Amino acid sequence: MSRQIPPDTVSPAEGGAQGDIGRRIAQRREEMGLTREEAAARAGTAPGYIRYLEEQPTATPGVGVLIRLADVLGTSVAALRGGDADRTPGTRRAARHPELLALGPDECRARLSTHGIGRLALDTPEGPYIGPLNYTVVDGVVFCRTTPGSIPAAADGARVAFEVDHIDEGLRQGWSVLVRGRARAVTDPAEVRRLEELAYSAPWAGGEGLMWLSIDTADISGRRIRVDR
Amino acid sequence: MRPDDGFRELDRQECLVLLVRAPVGRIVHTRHALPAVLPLTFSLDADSAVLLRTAADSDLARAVDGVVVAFEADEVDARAHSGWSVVVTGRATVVTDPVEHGRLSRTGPRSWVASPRDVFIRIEPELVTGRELVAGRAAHGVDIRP
Repeated sequence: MSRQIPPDTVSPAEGGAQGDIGRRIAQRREEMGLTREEAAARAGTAPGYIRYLEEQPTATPGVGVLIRLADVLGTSVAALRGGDADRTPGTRRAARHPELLALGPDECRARLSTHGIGRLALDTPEGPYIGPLNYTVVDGVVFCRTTPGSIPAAADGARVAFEVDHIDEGLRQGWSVLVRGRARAVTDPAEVRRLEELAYSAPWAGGEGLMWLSIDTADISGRRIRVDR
Repeated sequence: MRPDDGFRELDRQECLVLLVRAPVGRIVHTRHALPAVLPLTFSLDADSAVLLRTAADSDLARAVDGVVVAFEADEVDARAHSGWSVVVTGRATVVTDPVEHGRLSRTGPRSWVASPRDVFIRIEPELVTGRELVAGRAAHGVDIRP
């Protein structure tokens, strides 16, 4: 997830990606709301080693620890290595025995986890809109932060879709979760303060004067492609 | 697309260069009178139309045929606060011409889950828009992060 823009040149996945393993580990770990200690305990390694992997660009973890970490972090070795970054899209054949499975509401909520990046979609007079936003889940409600006056801000009161997915092109599997409901601008100052305290990450653009949108998750569905090997 | 927080607008060519490298994109359509989003593999045709492949009897094929849809791909790095998002907006049609279907069977996208009978969906690239987020920078290029 570290490609430079614009991508005039295609670098081999191994080349520039090495130092990014640590960043991917840290990102997934934080998305899952795990401390280094928790992630280390689950992966059967030491917290200090997780810190080393996350902070040292030259760290070259062995496949064994990567497999365990990928498992703990709900991702794959290929994704942690960024090895799927430069592949021509959509051209590989389907995996051997892929199955499309529906996810139950509880599993959908578990996969939304505590925070991350999703995509907000809504109908506008100019046509359908979709764009990525950071989100945080508090008490089963999705909260997104956006700029007043932007298209997502205009979703206040509208029925919207909010989608989160994790795609592993290397293994040709993945999942997606779709929340559909009414978006509401959060206007109560006390509620805004609480969200500011609970928010895991700064909004992308940083900056003052942002607003919160809430999306109820009563209508939640998901699917997953499972590959038998 | 309206200018937005910290994003730089990308031109059509920049958008297409990014789009061609994305492994999956997400189609926005209307299902039961509500917007819905579905991630799918895709490829771009020679004229930059977005090509999707889905089961002939899928809800998606029924829902989007003849309808204006948005198709989005992005790559975002939450930690570095950087990334891009590209959206193709245009009319979607299910490909019915057998010759065209044959051509796309050979050169078009492959779906990850096999289906007994697939159809191809074309999204005309009527509007191609994109935004790039430069790490930690606000709308006017001023670094406001600590």
